[in-house]
Amino acid sequence: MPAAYAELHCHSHFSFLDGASSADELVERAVELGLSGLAITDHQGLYGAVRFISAAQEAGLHPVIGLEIELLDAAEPDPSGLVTPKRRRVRRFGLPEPDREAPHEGSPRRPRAERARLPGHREAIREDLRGIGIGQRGPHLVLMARDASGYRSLCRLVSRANLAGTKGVPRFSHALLREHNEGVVALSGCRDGEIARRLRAGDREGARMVAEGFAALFGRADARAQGGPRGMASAGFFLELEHHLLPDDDWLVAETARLAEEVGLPVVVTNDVHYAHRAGRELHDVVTAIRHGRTLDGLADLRDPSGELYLKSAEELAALPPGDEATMSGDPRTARAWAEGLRTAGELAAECSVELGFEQYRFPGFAVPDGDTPLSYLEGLCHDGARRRYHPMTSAVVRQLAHELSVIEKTGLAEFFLICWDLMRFAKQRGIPAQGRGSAADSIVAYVLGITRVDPIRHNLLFERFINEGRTAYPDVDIDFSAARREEVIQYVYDKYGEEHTGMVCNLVTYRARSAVREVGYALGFPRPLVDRVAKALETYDSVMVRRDLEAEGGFGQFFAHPGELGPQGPEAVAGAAAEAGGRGLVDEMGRLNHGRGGRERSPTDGSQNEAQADSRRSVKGGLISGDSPGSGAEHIPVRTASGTNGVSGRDHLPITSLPRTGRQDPGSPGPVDRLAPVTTIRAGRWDDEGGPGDSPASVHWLRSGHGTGYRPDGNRTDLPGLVGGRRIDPESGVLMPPERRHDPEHPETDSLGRPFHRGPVRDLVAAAEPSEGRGDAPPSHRPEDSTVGLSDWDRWLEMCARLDGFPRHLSIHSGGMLVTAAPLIDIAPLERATMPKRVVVQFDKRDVETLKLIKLDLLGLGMLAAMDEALQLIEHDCAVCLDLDRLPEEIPEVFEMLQAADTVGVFQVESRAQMQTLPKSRPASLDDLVVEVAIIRPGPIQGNAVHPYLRRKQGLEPVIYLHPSLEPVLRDTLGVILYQEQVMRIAIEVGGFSPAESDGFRRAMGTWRSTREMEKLHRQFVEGCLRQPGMTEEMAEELFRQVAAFASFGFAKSHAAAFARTAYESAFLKLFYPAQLLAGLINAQPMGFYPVEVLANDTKRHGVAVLPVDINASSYKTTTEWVGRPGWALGQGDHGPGEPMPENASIGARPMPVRSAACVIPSSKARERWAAESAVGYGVRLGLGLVKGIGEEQAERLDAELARGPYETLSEVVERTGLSEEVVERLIRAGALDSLGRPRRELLWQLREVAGATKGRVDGRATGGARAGRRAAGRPADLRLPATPVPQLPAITETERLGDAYAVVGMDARRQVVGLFREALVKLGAQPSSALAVRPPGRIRLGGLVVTRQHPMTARGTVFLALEDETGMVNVTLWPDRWMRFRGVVRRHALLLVDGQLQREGNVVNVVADDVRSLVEEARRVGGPEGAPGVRHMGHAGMRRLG
Amino acid sequence: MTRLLREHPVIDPELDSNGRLVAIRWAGRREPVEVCNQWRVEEGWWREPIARDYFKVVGPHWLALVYLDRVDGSWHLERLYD
Repeated sequence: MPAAYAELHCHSHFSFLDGASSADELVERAVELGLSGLAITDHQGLYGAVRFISAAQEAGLHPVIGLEIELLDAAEPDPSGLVTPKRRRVRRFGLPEPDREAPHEGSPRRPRAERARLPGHREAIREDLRGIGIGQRGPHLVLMARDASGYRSLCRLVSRANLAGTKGVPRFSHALLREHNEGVVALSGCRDGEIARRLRAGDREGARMVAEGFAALFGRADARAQGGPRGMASAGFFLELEHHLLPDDDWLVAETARLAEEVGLPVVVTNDVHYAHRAGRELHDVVTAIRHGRTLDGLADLRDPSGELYLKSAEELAALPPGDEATMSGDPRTARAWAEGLRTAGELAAECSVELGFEQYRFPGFAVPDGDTPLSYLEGLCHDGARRRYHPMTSAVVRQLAHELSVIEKTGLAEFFLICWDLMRFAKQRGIPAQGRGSAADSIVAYVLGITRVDPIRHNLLFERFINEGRTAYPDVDIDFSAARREEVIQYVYDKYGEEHTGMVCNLVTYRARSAVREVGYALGFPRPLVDRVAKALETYDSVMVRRDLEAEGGFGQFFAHPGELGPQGPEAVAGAAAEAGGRGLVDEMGRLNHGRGGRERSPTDGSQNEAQADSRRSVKGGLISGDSPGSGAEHIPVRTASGTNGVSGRDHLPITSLPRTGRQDPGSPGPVDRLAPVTTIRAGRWDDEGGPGDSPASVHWLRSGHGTGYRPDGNRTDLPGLVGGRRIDPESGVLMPPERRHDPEHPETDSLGRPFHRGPVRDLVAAAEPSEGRGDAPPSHRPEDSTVGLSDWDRWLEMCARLDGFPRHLSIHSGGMLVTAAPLIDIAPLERATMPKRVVVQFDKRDVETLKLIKLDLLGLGMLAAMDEALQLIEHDCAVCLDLDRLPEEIPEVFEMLQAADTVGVFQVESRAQMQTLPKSRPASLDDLVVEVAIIRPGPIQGNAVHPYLRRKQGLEPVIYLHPSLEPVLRDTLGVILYQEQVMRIAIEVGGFSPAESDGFRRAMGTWRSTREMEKLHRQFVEGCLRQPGMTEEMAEELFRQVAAFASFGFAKSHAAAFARTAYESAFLKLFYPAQLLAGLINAQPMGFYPVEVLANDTKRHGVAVLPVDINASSYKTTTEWVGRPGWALGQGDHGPGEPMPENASIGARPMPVRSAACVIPSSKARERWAAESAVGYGVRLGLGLVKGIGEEQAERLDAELARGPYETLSEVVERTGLSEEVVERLIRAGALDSLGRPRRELLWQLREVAGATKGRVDGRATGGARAGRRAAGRPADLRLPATPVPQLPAITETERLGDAYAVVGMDARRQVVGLFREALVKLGAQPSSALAVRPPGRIRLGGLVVTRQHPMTARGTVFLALEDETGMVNVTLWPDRWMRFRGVVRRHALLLVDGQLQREGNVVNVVADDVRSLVEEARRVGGPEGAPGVRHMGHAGMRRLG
Repeated sequence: MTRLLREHPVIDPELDSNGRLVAIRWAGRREPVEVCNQWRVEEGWWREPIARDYFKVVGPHWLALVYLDRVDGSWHLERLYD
């Protein structure tokens, strides 16, 4: 028995949908199996290498880094296509693909260009590999790094191959291999390696030449070492022996062993592992199906037939047929080779050892002027900067600066600061708004260099939080740039430091709840509309919560649940764990009964009723297989009647047939009538099964008939998923397909196996083989643990989703992480192309980069900076005022007044529901208070109960006390509550007697609870230090430690909060004094922030700012400001004063009235005089054309140029000049953007077909509506200037229609909020406007509104918060979990709601707790109100934001 | 000609002391056999699992494909080659 075996060919889930286990699982399993080492050899890259190495080192397993590449070309000439066979054409849904041109020599064939070419990206064609088995792709080869030089070679090889190819399609060639073979060990690969392929094709001579070629390339075993301890492991090329119990594996192993002996090459035994445990094959099949875009059934030969690709121990491998001396008695060579291969694998793994650590590759040199060192240059810059920032320079500043510079000198980070400074300098020159955030703001050096905007002296920040001498990890500087202009900065870094030294950190896109549900659903063969609907119903992002989420509603769980699962308590109780567990057991039982299909003998434990069931199934099958007449499949299914069920009823059947109840029923007595009622009638109307968006008749039928359960009411198995009455549902259209001959598991040679067996030459008919496990005597347990066999379809779906959770799916660019290195990056990390042209990303993500101790800069895009920048430019343009926000005074009372009133829609960081609810209580009156506010409304402090003590103290409801007087200076800002990480450190320093460097370690240890021993040590040190304080008792010290430990885990860096608070303050200032300009900026910077555009615009309107609709003759692409004249209230004429005249083309009748309510702060004229330009109040906001769906950045230039050329007079002019497609022009008409042409909208729509159809449905040479365009009425060429056909009398559109169209096209209406339409009906219904709430006493209330946000915070445990807006304001509505369960369907289907509830008031905070929720449109109809505006309903679905 | 046996009738295997298949019995006949190839199929876990070890066996009269059903441990005859 080989002592030390190591698996050298193993795929983790970083093989991207080819591999079903994480590195952690594989490592854990390898340790369990006693392997001496493990290599992870993912496809085409080193994505998982860093995680794997950390996991392995932690578990004490020897890791080997490697990868499996797919070569483009064969090593030896391959004219007959033995090695890279011609690909068969991909067929999808029976349609033949169009012919493809013959590819160039050696390049991979492209079955279908997935995407059109992107501008500027020469080869942005993604190869579509769906449906293409590895057999049709290039030959495989496994490469491993023997040492550091090998790792370098692999990085270079991967990077070069990727840079030569396109995203996700590296081009590995033999030429490249020859250049990068230093320190690399190669294995011949699986059965799709070149050698195995040639052997299987019968080309022994070719295989031999290839083997010799590789041996020459990677080196043979060292002759001197051959006899020595290193043995064969010193070789550079090995032949792999794999045996997966496939029909020709015996033969292939024997042939490979023979070749090895002939050529004199060493062999290793590997298992081409794709999953850690046997049960992993199920998930592996699912991911394979996902990768190929097929269902499990449709995978056919792309599936692995034997399920043997799990991690095996040396013993298991040795017991396989080639290792069995008896089996191989005629071929001792194979047995010998197998044993040797097992041994060599362990030795080879031990040979390969790579340390990853890159501390030495710090930063690229930063060029400093002659005679300076980086540090001296930095010192000079700091002193210049300090003189600019501080007047006067205090001794504290000088002291702090000197201290920081000395730490920077000791840690050698001077260049790092210079790089950041240089970036900020560049941004400033270009006028790109930028500011540092995060712990960097703790540093005065960063402040004086202009990297951050927070004065650490003023805010009493702690530099040690950022850098200290004891810190092992690297400081992170996060710099926010205007989201719109971040690209320029990134390009600058590339240009300055060179492509070889710069790379973006990748971002790993992993499966979350919704993507998992969707893709697993498709793979399991559920109809597409059904899967879409389930996925849409998800509220959570967490795959593990999917079950709770979907079954809670009383919706999907029931559809799928076995009828017996529904307990007598009714649907509400079904979510209960007990019911679920009971149901599971039953399903298990049924699952077992179900195994009998396929004409097999039944085991004696099955009862007679199963015989009967089996009979009926046989008859079903017979009907399907014989296929005597098309369409007969459905008829052949015997529909069981109630009496039929009774006929075979036994006690086993009772739970199965107890069906969901129709009405109220005595829990104890499941009446027989109820039991036998057909499912459809029971379900109709009772559950939410009316069909959602995207449902087709077929999927609703499928749901209603209980097919999803897999069981009919009588307990018999129904169709397989995806089938209705034996007929397939077309996954695309949801239409039932004609009956077809089903997959037939009885003919495994062709169907069940799905592949024609590759017949190896019939070898020696020697002794009979032994089944490797499970003989006839004892019923073998073939079913691995954790198998999903026996679960219902629904349970299996959820289970697979949970297992897929967190799997990497693909790479994208991290939002801003950049690596800048001294050594060429290509030596340190594998690079690959990103989708974005010219962009290169590292195959490692943020976490990996930190593990490798590489330094990264985070260059982030911040929407608010872009919005504020744009607002400032508009202010400069409109009011001729140049605002410098850096010099904005910190204490403008009006701004704090506004914040205290929670009038914060659109204000950075403090606009969320939770913030708005606390602001009136915390009443921030200074920037310091605002810093607290930003830091405290976070999941951590909320869960840690830090919020309430602070708020109570702030409101004076509870005294501010300190545990010990020494804490007062530290905790004064936060009224004695520990909130900031800096405070934890300061307590450690000032009370606990830690050194500054130690205090950072203390904070980190507290936050992560790494090890109990370490914690105990720190605990003792802390308590002992505390006791040195006068007046400190042991109890107090213990209590302090407890508090610190409790808060440290969620603490927030004060520096970060301070940087954000400053931005929040500035945006609040702009909102108060320049609302129009800020709104324009916010709209153009979307998507950002908490609220949709509609809410922002309505809020601004309530502040008396005119919002003007989209108008082709006035709007540019972007939203801008426009002069509308100052309103009466601003001129001291009172709210109803005439004000200045409005310009003619304003498109609105009147300026909106400001809403006078407690939650709507409008600055007094005195304040306006002091802080804002006089003309600011005379500006309104003109919505831009970019808000119309279908108009994008690419049309912006043309639209703006045409607008500048002059007004549009006619519709045909609009069509010609804008070059917009017919659909988009139609949307413009519906949005009212063409109203300024002076024609009614219906007339314009009438003419549009004719005008836009002028070039046969083509505008600008492009088809406008795909196939539909051709069928449209051909128009008359516009350039003939023929008179338009006369327009018939068309009715004018109603206000409801107009509003509905506006919401559907733009997502809002500039003139009125939709709820205003219902005001009359709302008054009749007794509902209050939201502006009235502020003055109403607590008690019952009814209100109607549009749902603008819906929140399910994780911290609220099932409570849901709605923001309901009407024309007067916004109200927060709380739905407790039971209400949410009950009204979930209503809330999700309707955007306009009528809510009855309790008005609650806490100080100035108003909140409505809902008792009853109904559809406003339906209720209004009852009292004769308007019909619902259809576009609004639509908006409720599309415009909803999900906030976790 | 190949005869596919739709019902996959159960057969009685005869195993030697090492658990190797040496003969099969079906329809009242006993056929001593030798195994010429074997493979494993594990399939269909998402509807009804198939887990079988296939043996292609040759005897004086029959060339047959039999399998061990690893779900319940029974042996079946799937195919007879004439």
